[in-house]
Amino acid sequence: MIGRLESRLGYLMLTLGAVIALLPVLGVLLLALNKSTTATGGFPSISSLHPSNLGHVWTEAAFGPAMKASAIITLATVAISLVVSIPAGYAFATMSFRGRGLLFYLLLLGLLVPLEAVVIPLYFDLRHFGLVDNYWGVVLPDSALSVAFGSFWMRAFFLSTPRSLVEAARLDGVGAFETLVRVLLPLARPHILTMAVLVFVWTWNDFLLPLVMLSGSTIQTAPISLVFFQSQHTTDIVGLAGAAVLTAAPVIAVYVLLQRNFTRGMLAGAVKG
Amino acid sequence: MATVELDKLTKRYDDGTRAVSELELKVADRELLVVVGPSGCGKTTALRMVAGLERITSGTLRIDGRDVNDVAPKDRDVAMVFQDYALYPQMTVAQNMGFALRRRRMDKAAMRKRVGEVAEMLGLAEVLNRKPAQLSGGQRQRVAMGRALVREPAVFLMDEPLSNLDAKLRVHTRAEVMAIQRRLGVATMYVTHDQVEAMTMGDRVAVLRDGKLQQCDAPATLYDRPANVFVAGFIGSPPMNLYRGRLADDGLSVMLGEQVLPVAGEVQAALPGLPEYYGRELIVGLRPEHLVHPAGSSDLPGLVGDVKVVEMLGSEQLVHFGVAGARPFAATGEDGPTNLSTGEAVARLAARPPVHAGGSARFGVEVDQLQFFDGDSGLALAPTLSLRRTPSLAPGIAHDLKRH
Amino acid sequence: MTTTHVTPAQTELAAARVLRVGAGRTQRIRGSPPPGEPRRIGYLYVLPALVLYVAFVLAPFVHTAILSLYSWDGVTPAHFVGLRNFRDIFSNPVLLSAFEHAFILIIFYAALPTVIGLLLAGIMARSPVRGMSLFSTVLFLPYVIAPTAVAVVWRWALAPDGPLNQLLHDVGLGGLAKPWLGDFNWALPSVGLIGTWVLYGLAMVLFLAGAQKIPRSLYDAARIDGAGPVWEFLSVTLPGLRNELVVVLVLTVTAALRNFDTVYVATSGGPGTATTVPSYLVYNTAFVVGSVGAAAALGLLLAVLIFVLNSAITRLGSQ
Repeated sequence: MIGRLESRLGYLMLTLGAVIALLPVLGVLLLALNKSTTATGGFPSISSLHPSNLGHVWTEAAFGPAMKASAIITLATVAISLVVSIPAGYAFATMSFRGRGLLFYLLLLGLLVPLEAVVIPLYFDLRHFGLVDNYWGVVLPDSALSVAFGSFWMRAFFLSTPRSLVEAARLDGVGAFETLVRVLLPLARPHILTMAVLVFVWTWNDFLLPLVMLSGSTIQTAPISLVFFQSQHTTDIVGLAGAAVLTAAPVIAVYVLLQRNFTRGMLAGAVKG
Repeated sequence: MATVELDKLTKRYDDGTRAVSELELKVADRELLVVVGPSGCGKTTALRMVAGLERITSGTLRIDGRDVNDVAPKDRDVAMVFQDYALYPQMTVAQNMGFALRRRRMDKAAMRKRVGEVAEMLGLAEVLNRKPAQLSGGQRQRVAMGRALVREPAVFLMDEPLSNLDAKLRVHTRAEVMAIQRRLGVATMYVTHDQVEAMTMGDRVAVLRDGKLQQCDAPATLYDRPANVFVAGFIGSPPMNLYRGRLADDGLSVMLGEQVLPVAGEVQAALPGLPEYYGRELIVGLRPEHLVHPAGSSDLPGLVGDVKVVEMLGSEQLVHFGVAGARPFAATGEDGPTNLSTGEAVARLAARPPVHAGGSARFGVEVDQLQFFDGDSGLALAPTLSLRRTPSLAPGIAHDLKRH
Repeated sequence: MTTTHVTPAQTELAAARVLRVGAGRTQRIRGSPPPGEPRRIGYLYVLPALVLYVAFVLAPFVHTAILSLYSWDGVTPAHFVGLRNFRDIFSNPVLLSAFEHAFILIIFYAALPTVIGLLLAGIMARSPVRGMSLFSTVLFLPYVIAPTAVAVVWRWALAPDGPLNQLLHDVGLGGLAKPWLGDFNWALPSVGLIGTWVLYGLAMVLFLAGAQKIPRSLYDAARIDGAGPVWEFLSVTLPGLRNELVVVLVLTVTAALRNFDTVYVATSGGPGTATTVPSYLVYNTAFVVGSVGAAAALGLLLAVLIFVLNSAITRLGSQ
């Protein structure tokens, strides 16, 4: 049967793809747990696992503070972009106010503006307001860059809920805010979770914005610590692997935990400015 | 105790389209008024204007004599059952039903008591702690009803509340809704596209088309004395057979193509306006049940036709036949033009003996049941009082008429 | 026909990205809404989002456009130079080559993953995939990992004495070994292949998920009409994946143009200028060289490029 042959070929391709995706990741993980601190080249073996290297990197590269900084920035950005995007999406979807279409259009432009096209003024302008070299200098622009997607995403959800639900609430005498909180938000959980995962991944992984906005401070995010560590220890392969694992670990953990939500967002083509 | 009065209610959208035109309706106290019409006729828009979910472009809406055009929905003392029920998915049945009461700061114990009573009445007592997703379609429908009932509103508004139920459950629930409405005696405006539902449930039925009221009458009147060809074609299943005909110069007979039917004396007497049409064209209507089985109708006046299709329904048979030489008039029904456009008439006959497709047959006609409509306006030639009140015909019908 | 299975958000987001959808799906705003319907309060709900967005995205973007017309070192007063920064870009072969590199990278970031993904979708379209969620979890992994970490790892893997060269030696192909990221000819393709590694899984999952939603009956119909595998792919699978194609291309092309992290870590634009790309140049010119105006012009051009390419992709998808 042709169908069976095709399907076997397909599984072969999928498996090959999965192996190529996974192999370097596993290799680095094993390398990071390697006993020797001077391993060079070759593929590490399973026989010599030793987690102490991670601890070594943790202190050596000051990963503790870096992880904390990344966590603060990321969680604050997720929180702010949610708190701001949800009401915006709700109003764009359910309320008729003058200029609604125009304002939404304006916001959508944000999906197209790359960080590279705003990072220069962000640095030089925010310097005036003391928003450089501290958390706000990263959190506020990062939140703003997620707002275009967030408002769009939440609006799409509110549009997908039956209009009669909002109208039934109106007949029941429920105000607009309470309709949002009591009637619609309980239904929006998967949607909100998807947005939270995406913003988490984007923000944690971001390099350019913190690199620029925190250039004069001692605050370092995990990716920045990783890159600095690399530039100082180019030959410490095991240390580098450990640093890479530590940088990627929180995102991978969140991703594995909320995989379905993440995939939903990706299938919709989510992207940040 | 309340009434609802729609006084020249009009809904016009920004792009100029009129969903509802100068609609005049009154729902009396304790009355169940059904608004029926094909999709897009404006019936739901009319209901939503009464609910306050749609701005009234012009005209006045009065509930209990009070002008409520600018009153918010929650202050109109109306409750609505939505087509998709609009139950809050995350709340239990009890919470759904009590939600509006809690908004009104009702005492907790009193609230629980009333929810319990209504749930008892609707047979929902067992499922009060379930969520909508765990309920059957029929239960969900009843929760939607219950949510409206607990509020004890002055007016019930129902927007196709049974259309999401399967056919069998729909018939059952129909009776239930009627019984509850009768018992509570709350003025109810009920919207549906299903004319059977309208006929069985309504104290009175208002037929809408293109945003305009065609006729508002008791179901029997609507059936026996349709005000115009649209109502004639819309109400009744299968619909009324409508043919172009010419009245003889002496008015004693009418010609459908080559075939001649006598005009009964009763008809002559009942239609004082008939002489105006002597020698002129008009539209002749005849309900399928007023055709008589070929076997045993030789003493009646008759129509000869080619039998095309026979639908055997067990207790009766529906015979589709083409009336030789006659020009059918196509009334526009729910699904576009009715079967008449194919040139077929339908006879509802006794099941036996079976009529066979393919041959020619002569069907008896109860000529005292013939109905006549003006060939240009489509209005019925009838002395019925309701006709006098019926506003001019929708332009759509005049258009249909010109086409033929 | 086959577009019915695409989620509204998916279609809209792709289209919205180039602003071809505005308030399209919202109900028409009526002259006066019904009594009791919230209206002006709506401004209050959108205000925080708009303030944040205007302050930290829109205003800076406009400022970038203004800066691009100035010569400024970031310290001393700036002076107006008109379009000179743009003329410089188009007359400077190094700067121009950065855009050339960007287009080459699009082949690796966008074209290769798309071809791989479509191939898989074509093969698997008619059979349900078992273990799909496990596959998609693994295949998405490279995309989720911080690009900096990815670059650090690949820098090691592609190092002169790294595992790749080691492997080549072991299988007797030692002659092919080279410092991949330090080789003038191989550095750019190597960076490109890092992008391919990050994105092929995403393309596979998106296309496969899309293909699974194409109604089976279409394939049966095609088969009854006597369609072969190629014809079937062209007439059923590909049209059915139109929206996924738009999404994948938009994501991957954007990623190809915004690969600052990868280039910064893996090559820093080197050797020489072999891997300079616009996004790297924006940072380097502004914050290392100190030519803020020129960097702003580069950033603006990059934004325009992204806008134009995304428009073209969406337009292609809607035909």
